[in-house]
Amino acid sequence: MARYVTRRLAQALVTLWVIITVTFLLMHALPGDPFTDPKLPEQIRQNMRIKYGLDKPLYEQYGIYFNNLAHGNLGYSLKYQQRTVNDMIRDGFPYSADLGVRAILFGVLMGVSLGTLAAFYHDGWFDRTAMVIAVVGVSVPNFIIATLLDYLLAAKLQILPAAGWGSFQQSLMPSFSLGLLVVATMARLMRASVLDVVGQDYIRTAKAKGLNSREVIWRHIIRNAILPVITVLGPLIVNIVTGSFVIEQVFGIPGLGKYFIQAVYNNDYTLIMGTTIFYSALLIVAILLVDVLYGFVDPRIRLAGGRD
Amino acid sequence: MAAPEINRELFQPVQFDREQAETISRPALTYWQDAWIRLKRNKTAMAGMLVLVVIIIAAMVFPARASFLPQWWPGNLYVYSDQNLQEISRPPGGLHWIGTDDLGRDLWVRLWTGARLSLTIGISAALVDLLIGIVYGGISGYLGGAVDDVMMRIIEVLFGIPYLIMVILLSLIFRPTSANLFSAVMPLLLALTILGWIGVARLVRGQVLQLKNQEFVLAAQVLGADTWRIVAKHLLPNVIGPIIVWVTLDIPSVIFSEAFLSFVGLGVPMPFASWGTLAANGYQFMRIWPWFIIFPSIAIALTMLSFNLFGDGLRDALDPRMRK
Repeated sequence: MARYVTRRLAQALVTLWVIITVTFLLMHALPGDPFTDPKLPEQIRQNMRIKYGLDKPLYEQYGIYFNNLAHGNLGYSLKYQQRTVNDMIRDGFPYSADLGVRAILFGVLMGVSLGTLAAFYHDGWFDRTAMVIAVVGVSVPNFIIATLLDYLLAAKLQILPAAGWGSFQQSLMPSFSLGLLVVATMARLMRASVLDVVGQDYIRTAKAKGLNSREVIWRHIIRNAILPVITVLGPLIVNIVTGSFVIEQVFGIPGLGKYFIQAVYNNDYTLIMGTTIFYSALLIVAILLVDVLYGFVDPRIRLAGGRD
Repeated sequence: MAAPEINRELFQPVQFDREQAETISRPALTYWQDAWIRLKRNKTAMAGMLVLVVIIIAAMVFPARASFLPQWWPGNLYVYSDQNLQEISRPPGGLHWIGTDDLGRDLWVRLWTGARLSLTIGISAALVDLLIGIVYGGISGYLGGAVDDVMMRIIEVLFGIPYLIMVILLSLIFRPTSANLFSAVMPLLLALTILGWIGVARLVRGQVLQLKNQEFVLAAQVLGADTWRIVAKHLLPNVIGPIIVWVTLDIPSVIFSEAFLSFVGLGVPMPFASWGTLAANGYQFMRIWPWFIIFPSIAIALTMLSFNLFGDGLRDALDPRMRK
């Protein structure tokens, strides 16, 4: 187990380093610099370049950036003068995190229950309906769901607020459209997993020794079936985060995803780099946690050590 | 009560005919015939396939100019970029089958021109991914040892990079210019494929690793087959099933990524139409002119759904373990 965790940790660090370096190089490979405005006098442009350290050789800039990064300093936004990237992440991220957590919770709870029930009523009408929902949920892009919901429930029927963040009603549509993919993925996997577990010998043993069905379902079926499902949580978190870019835009939520997209529009290099690195670090840590957690939850891995 | 008496007379030897034992009771089917039969039995997969065929044909014919067809044929009346400022934001009906947009462009023609773009990007990106993936995974799996080790470490590192974030960054570097369609699409294709091949590389590597030590490969080696023949005749046919499934499921995810990028404004530039740009434009005017958004949404959702249903069915059909 310890070996597995160290290996994954090393891998995560290398990935993060690659992302930081690639982002840095990409931003500097862009033609021109942020001060190419022709109205800018040459002297001022030179001063700006010096102020932001763009006159130094590339490797030196890289060293400075890395050093700042190690101190948790992501630099100033180029578009919004006087604001640091750290500030903007601190402003925006709580909204994004709130939305993301809601979407994940909704997705996991709903998906696991749908999948379990579908497996229990295998081949019945509930199973078929649940699987139709799952296929649709996997197939329809989140921004389509979001816009259609917004049009139907907010613009036409006017039962939910169209945009904004704060009240419970305002959180319903964004969390739903962001979490639907999680529901769908979880439901499909959970169904397959439960069907697999139900056929195992130890379930027959549990029933044969006279456990009541509630005991069998909770302690033996669901506990075993949910294990492999946990592993997809990592990729799903990635999906939630990237999905939030567009969901925040559709519902006007002042989160970090909106900043990120705007930064890309505005060529705000430092902000793009900062948010990319922040997001990447967040996702790498999240996936690492899911993997390690999985190792701890599953005794077969915890005791045997390593997983290959 | 006495037990029934068991004696020799109650039994009779089974007739065993050597000739009959050798006869083949059902026709021999190749892998593909067998898969096709199972696919045909799967109604949802066939429905998905049918819808895809219809969409592809529609994308080919509707925007096309066809002089032998009557005047009202959409392709004869409009081009996707034609603006008619007299007919701005017309609702569906008349000569504009699903209305016009805010610049007076016919939406039906734009929708199917967009289909051409989205489908082309989806299919070509999936094929490029496939090509890189097969080469990378094939080399890694076939050579094994230290080479495999290094190549897999690289993949593990790349795998941790969030795909869409990187695509967004890359689309910034290769920002499409609107000069012509080719230079508008190529950067996007590059951004979408630069990390997209990882999945198929892992798949191919795993399959090759599993297959190369099996007896039939050894037998071929003993019989004097060279590496090329082993790869082409023995390894590839065995991995082709999962690869085809992977491609059918990769196409909708590329279409999604393209639509996503275009929706946030980083995809193909404006005069060109893709389903993502149409949806983005529709979203802007959703409250006043809802038909802008509805048709591209249906098109994207239906295409992705059909690809997924077809891919799922194909996976079941091509899996030899499902054979009865």
